Amino acid sequence: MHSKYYLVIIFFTFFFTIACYSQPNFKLQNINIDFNENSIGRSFQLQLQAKTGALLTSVGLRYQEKLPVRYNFGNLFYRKMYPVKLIQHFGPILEISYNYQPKNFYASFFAGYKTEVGIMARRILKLDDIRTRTSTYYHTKSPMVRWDNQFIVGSSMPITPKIKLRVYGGVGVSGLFKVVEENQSFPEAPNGRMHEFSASYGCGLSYQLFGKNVLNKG
Amino acid sequence: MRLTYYSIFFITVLVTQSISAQNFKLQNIEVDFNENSIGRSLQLQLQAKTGPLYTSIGLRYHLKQRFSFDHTASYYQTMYPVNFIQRFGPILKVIYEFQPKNFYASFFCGFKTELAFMARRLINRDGTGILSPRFLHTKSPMIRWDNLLIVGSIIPVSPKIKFRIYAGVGGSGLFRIVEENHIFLAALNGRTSDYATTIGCGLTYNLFDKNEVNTN
Repeated sequence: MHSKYYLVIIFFTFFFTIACYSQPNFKLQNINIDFNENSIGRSFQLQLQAKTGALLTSVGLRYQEKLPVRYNFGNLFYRKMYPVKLIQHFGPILEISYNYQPKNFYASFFAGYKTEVGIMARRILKLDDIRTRTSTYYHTKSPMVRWDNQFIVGSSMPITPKIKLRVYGGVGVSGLFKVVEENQSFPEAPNGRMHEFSASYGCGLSYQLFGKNVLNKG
Repeated sequence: MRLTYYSIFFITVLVTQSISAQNFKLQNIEVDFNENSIGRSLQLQLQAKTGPLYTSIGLRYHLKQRFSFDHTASYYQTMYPVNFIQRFGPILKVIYEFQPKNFYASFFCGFKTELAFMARRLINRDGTGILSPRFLHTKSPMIRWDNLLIVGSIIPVSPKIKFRIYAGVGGSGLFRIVEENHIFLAALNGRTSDYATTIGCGLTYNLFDKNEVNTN
């Protein structure tokens, strides 16, 4: 069952990538390494970025970090996506952005769409148990699917002729699928699906594979 | 109580005046978002240059954070302003900037110190299960003095603006710990020290000239 999901995603990612890169006006340009935090969780991201006209398209993988348990005053239960095995650390990313270079700026700015999929369990912490420092975790049936869709804006700043620093933030909506076991506590997803507000921020380095960044001098 | 604030204000003015009178040249204004062991803050600093060193003096504005704590800590302790003036604290930073060849960005390392005069908030967890935890505040003000070695990078954004990103480690001195001692016996004489870290980013605006980007 799990293997089927992964195979389908790998299949689509592979064919989408091939279709993109086989277009004559696509030009592989950058490799991006990001640190990102969004509603799926904290992750490191590796993306290949191609340019077609004014648009930059990135395809890559996210590696989910496991975080220590934290919960907020405002939440009765703590819920976070949580990988229960190695393959669940990984998920696909697609980003399409428009790059704008203002006059008299060395930095450029971008806006676009970014989507990520997390296929893993969701961890629920029962607060009553934390006093004794022996918290109990409930894992939802694995894998649950969280699909983030976000509008992002950011800036790309030159560090060297080959490397740029990228800083960005975004907001959007997450779709949650296969929400099964939680429904005994949270009857909000009676058909196993629901959606949520999501936000994201991140920073990373962009390495130009071919040629050199030309510094804009206005 | 007010005497402490007035003294710090007075000393800050004197230090700033004496620095400005010498071979210091006021150069930049810096706006930072910072997180350290005192807490999360917005920081405004004036930066002057003398030779290879940059000296910044400014103020931090402490942001109150939502209550969250982790699994491994029995008590949640964080600095917490209980009145408006406690949100502010002085900052002093001295850095050395280095411009490598073939880099548009430059790098820096230096010393940063921050002072905070506010209460420390403790949480009684008995109420967390029903979302009604009680907060206990230390006698106000308690003093936390962060001393950090920082490293970072300065990246050009425009001829007048640069982006800075940095991180640091160091030690904190905690003074006037009074009421906590019935729980934490680590500060019997009202003083203790703690490990400290910081991370931050911000913008630097060049007040008088234009930033020259290294194109070598």
